[in-house]
Amino acid sequence: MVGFLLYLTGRLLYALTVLVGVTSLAFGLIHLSGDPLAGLVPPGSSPEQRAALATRFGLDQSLPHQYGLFLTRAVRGDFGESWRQRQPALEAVLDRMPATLALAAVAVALAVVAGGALGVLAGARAGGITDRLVRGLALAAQAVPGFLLGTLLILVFAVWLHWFPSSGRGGARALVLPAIALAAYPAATIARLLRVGLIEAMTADYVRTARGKGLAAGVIVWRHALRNAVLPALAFVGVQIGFLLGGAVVIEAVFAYPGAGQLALSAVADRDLPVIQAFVVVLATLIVVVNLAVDGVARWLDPRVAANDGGVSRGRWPWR
Amino acid sequence: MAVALKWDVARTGEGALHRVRPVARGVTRPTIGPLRRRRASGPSVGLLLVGAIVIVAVLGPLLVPSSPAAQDLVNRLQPPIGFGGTTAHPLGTDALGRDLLARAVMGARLSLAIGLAATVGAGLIGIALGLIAGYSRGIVDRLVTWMIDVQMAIPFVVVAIAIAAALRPGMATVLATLVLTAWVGYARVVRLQTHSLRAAPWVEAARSLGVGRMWLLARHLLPNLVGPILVIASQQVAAMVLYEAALSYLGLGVGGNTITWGGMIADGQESITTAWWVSLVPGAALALMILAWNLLGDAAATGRYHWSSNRRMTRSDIKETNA
Repeated sequence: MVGFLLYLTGRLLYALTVLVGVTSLAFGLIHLSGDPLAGLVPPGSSPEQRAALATRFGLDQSLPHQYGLFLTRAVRGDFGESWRQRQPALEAVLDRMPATLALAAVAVALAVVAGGALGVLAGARAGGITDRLVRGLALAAQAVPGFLLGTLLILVFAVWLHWFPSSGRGGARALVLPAIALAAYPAATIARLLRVGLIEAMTADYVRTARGKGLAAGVIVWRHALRNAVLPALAFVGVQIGFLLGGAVVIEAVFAYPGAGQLALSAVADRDLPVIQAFVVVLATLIVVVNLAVDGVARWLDPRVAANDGGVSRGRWPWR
Repeated sequence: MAVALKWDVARTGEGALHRVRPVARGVTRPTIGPLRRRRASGPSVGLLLVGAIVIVAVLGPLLVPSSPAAQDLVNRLQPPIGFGGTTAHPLGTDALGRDLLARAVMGARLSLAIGLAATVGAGLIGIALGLIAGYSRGIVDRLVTWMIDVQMAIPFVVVAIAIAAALRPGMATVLATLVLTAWVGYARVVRLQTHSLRAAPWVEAARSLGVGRMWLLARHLLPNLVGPILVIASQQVAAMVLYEAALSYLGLGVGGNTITWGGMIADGQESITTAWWVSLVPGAALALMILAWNLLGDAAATGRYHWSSNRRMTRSDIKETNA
């Protein structure tokens, strides 16, 4: 227990340094162009107007000074006022986050359930007809990008069949198509990982012993083999949550879904830099926290993980 | 002699090459009945598909009769052959009457060029950092690991949004975005592999002979990592192609008048209710390209090609890396 707490403290401190890195990167990327105001200042405005804007946003200070200010403010959750909306940038992002999180959560659930079921079906009888079908399906799902799948889904289920709305606005029904588009890729990968894990587990000695004891095939798969096959898929799910949050941005664009990704994309068009910085840091914080939680759970589930864990970052893939 | 020894070590797993990822091993292990697989010797489906795509992309303009930019306003939104179209436009036309076949072929050129360039660029950075981190350990290793973790906390699209907010759209911006995201994939694997090869007897031997660090990394360690690196690279191309298409789709891509599959799919969505082919022709081309590289990557990862046989991994390894 003490060991676990020590480990947790170490991971937490390390996660904080990662977030400092992310925040710095957000600052650095935004200032890559050298002139953050380019594109914000209307063409033909006088140097005085320019200077006034620069002073207002604190851009007349030296870059190290701006950086220091940015970091100390970011720690307090202050990314400044949005340049386009009369609202703090962080607030603008957080207002939209619930919609994005709902989409990502439904997609994760869908990927785990569908991918898990298909993976078990395929892995339990490797080489069979189900296995071949699942493998083909997974290969296809990994080849079709989410935004293309989204377009297809709109065409078939919204335009032709009228089963679901084509836009992401309006209740739970509107969430179905975007969630499927987002879940397809991780579901395919989960199915593949679980299948391989299960096939390997089914050749293990303890499965042979279980067979020798005369246990039913279902019991062997569910109670014995699956427990050992599930870890790589679980690790993947953890990392996927970050991937999904990024993918959600694209899917939101396909379905005009009112989430944080849409906000960020319009912020790019508007060159609303504070909103973009807040968006980057909020998303990265979420991902770091989720990964921390997954690491903790994996460690708690599988004692072997702790034995192999050598230090920084190896915690992410502890069983490798 | 020395070279032979190195490959022996790598092949027999003395350097823990096979122990790094137990997950993937079951795939090719011949003891598993239903999955028993002969080591195939001929080219895989993936390799053939990739070859065909490369030929189409290289020959590009020679293969298609019409110009991809020529507008034919009389023949707007013509369907492909089989859906009421004519041989004049085998895959139909878009809202401006431009030939979709010609545009899809031009899109292949850009997609492939950016995919390969980004893969190589990210490879150079990732391999260098991975080698240095894996060999030095200590503070340098920690620093590179930290950089990897920072990068992995920011999803690709988010990096793209931040860069797009700062830089002008264009080829260089897209490449920078892709490279900045993808180096991690190489760095992680190369770092782990270098770590495990570090203690190999032939590395010890070279070190005790007084070989310099750079020479050791470049001439002794790197050649042993060629297999895994090529496996990652073949898998990375698919990811880079997909990312470039996503960027173009979102309007964060190369921009200008450049023909991209992602841009074509986005354009076609305006007329999706009446002319589905405008989106789905480039969409099918994109899916085929990704499928081809995925298949090639799978074949490489399971040790199908001799250059990849000293290290086995699942394709999901690399996808996870890109998360």
